[in-house]
Amino acid sequence: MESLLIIYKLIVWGYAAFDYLSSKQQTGAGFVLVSLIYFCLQLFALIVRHKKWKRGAAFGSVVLLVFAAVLVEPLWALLLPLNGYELTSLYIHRVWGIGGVLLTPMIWLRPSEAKLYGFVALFSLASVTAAKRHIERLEQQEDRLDQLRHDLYRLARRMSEYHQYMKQSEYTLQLEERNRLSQRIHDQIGHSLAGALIQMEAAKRLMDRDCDKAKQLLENAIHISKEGMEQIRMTLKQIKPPLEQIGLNRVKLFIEEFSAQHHLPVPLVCKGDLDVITPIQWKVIYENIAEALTNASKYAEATAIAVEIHVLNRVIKVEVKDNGKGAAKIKKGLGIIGMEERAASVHGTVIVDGTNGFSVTTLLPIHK
Amino acid sequence: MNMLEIKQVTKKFGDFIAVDHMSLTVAEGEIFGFLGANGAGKSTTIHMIAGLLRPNAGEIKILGKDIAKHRQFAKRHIGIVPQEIAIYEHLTAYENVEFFAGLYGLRGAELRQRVEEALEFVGLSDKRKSYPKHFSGGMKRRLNIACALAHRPKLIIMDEPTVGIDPQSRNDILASVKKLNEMGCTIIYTSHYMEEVEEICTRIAIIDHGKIIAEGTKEQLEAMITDTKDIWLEIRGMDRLNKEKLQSIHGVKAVQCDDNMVKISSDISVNNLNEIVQCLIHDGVEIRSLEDKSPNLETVFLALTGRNLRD
Amino acid sequence: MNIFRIAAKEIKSDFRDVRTLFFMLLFPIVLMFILGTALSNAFHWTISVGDVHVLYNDQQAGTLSPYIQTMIQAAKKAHIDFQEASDHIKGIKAVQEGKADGYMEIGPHGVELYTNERNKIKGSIVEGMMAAFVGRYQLAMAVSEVNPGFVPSNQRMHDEYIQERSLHSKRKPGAMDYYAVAMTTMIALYSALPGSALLRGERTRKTADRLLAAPVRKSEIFIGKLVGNVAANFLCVAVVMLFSQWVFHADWGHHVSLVWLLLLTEVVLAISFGLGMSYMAKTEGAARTIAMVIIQLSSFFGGAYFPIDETAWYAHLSPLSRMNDTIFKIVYANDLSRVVPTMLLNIGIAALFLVVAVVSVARREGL
Repeated sequence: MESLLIIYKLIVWGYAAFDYLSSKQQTGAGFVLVSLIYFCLQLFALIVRHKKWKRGAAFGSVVLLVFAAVLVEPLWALLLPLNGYELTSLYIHRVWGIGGVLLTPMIWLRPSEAKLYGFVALFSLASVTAAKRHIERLEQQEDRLDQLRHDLYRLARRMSEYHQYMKQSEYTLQLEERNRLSQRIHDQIGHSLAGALIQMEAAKRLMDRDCDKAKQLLENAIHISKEGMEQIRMTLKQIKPPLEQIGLNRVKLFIEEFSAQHHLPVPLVCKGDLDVITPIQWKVIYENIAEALTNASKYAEATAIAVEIHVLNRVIKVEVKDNGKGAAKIKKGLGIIGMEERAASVHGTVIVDGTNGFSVTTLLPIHK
Repeated sequence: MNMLEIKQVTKKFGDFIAVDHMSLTVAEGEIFGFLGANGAGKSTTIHMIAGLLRPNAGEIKILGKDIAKHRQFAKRHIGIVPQEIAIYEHLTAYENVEFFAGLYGLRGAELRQRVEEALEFVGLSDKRKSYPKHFSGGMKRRLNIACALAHRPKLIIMDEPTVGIDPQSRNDILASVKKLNEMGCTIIYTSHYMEEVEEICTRIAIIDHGKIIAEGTKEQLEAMITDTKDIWLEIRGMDRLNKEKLQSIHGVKAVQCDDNMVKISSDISVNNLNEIVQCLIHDGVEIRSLEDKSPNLETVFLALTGRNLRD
Repeated sequence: MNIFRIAAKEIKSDFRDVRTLFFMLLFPIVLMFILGTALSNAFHWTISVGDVHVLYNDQQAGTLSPYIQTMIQAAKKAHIDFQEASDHIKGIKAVQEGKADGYMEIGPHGVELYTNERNKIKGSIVEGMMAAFVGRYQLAMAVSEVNPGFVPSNQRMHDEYIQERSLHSKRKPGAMDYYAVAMTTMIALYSALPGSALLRGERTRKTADRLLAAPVRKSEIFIGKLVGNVAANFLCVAVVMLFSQWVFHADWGHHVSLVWLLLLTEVVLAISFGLGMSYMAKTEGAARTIAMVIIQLSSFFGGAYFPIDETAWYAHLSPLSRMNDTIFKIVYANDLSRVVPTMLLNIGIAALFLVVAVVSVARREGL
């Protein structure tokens, strides 16, 4: 942008200088002096970093040009639009506003000069504005690209995290299951088998001496074995844990932890028949609650957050509602989009409302 | 063929997402209701269907044709009744209808006849030479509707056509909506009055924050939140109440008594109110009041969103 | 066809709007009447231009002198002084320096007149008088060649004519004449107000949705409304003008059709300005206020309420002063040279504002 303006200025200055030299009316001292000061100011503006100095240089250039145009050579006015643009664009943002300011010097110029000045002013206004817009858009796009890249990175990371987490939880679940299984086997089946074994061992010893006694013992063993078999069946049945327990417990656990961590009361209310919620739905519910709670703790400035899981006839409603400041206009971030996507994977929707506190409601259909 | 198909339509105004990935299908011959609070995205959706707004993403089809490509075709088949009264104060009732109908390419005798028909339909024939500024709110609303009818659209979109008018005019308008439907028009009707939507719509979509959160017939929507309805009766003669007999009525699930109040819960899909009342009267029980606490769309909305339709 | 329908609707509803009728018809006519009659005395006084000095150089040496002498005699009564100049250069220099208001040279090919641009009023008085004189002079020449006996009657006509012109030079347009023109051009400028509500009005009335929902192109709506509005407002302006002509007997000169054309371009300019404004300003109220302020300033500095020295710098800022000046030139000086530039300027500025409006309409959803 700045280099572009410099080139424009150079072109216009070149024109002015050429015009001036070809007319050769006076000595060139004044013209050269102004040129030098002008160049110094422009380079100064280019070099300094601080905005205040840049502004000062722009202002100085305009003053210099006005003096030069009045005292030395009217041609200097031609450079006014470009420097004037730099100055006025700091204070006026509307293009036509800037244009108006740039065109005002025409009033004091002679008609022939005014024509040329007007042309230069309009042309530089148009081209500089176009260039500025272009650059702004480029910057915006770059910003967006950065943002997108950043998002992509985050999403990818989160995905791999999920992946890992899934593997790990699977493994933990297996371990837990194995543990429980061995415990049960040890506690119940082990005892029965041991009992039956002892009885059978005794029967084998008594077989020759006391046939009847042995028979009775064997009978006992058979009975115990049968019982054992039954127990195995029972155990296997019992081992299958009620699914909703896992889901609800996880949610409860998370909420308690969250509550302790943030020193916020987070009441959890459950209504309806929780048994109909499938494991995959529990997963969505858990994750959405976790996300909503995290968001609330970050932005809401709430003093309480209520969580409600309500199983209606055909839908499950999960609501996380805080009493914080809410939001009149909701800007969808990755968090909300994530919740929506999770809900959509089980044909549900998410409603985000910020009119009275902030509430995130997940609605999941029940398929019977 | 489907009258209207909306696929994954999104409309943003700056950062604000007015309509969020909405998908929807309206078959020919339906009265389809959009129910939602103010600012839920109903009007935005309707404006997109009518071609007044362009969606940021997604596709809208009228009679199987994408409106982005067949704009004029779609416009010819749609009549829109805007939320606010959109008529010219300085044109008479007749001229108003004539002007708008003329924009749809109607000419000469056909134009005059259609205009007459439309005015007749909304009951403004005798006011054809009057200026709308002398009209009551209800009459203006009816003229507002007539302006959308004269070109005989196949799909009529009504955006809150009953806001702020007296009950009589409102009933007239609801009746005319039904009549239009009988004449073969498909109708999309938006309202935040759930009674109207309940009364006339064959199918309903509940819209909130730019999304359809539930869709179906009234019964389907109500069934979403519960499968029982409660009837509360205040009676005299509790001793004569035959609980077993009541419970044996088809659909009744439970009967609870307390002082002189009886709560009868029954299956929502069974209409047994008559039988219940008959049974009570037969036993000599005097009914002093009866309250039907069936779920309605209002309670559905409340249950699903935690908010009221009208705040 | 749709354009025509929309335009017809526009005209119909405009003329049924009491406010339109009041603003565009009654208001200017009443104002014209009040200012035209109440200020008629003050008007004569303020318009007096003082003595006019003209230099002349008669190179034809005598053939015309009797006529010129009679004219000079008559002109003296009207405070127009003629003095013989010694030669061409001196005459022109005197005009340039403002010592004389005009320099007339009677050569073999006709009469050449030099006036000073800086003093337009006096210049135009001399110009008008000489234009008439030259016309008569050529006629008289032709007649005297064919039938010398006819000359005396010409002489009489001559005398009369100059007296009439000299009366004009003292009075210029009368108060009613002046205000008829000023009010008509002012009211044409008022079309900017309906212009500012042209498309925005459809939006606030919500009928924009209906129009856009109909199978009509945006361009048709735009053109239809524009044409309708221009027609309606031009009709109002025409009514005001005809009223002033027939009832107040205001003088509109002999080139009425040109005046009409000029007024039409002014209406187009005003409406385009209002329309452009309605897209540049954020709210309807703002657009209206800006339009109103600009109209008032233009009226004030354009001489709608009292005559303005048209050579003053501020007079150039007002489109009205240019319009009025052009029309006065047509009516009182038969000078048509300003018509085309004024019309082109009006149309050009109108086009600028229209481009703003068109671009805004094309960009936005809705009108």
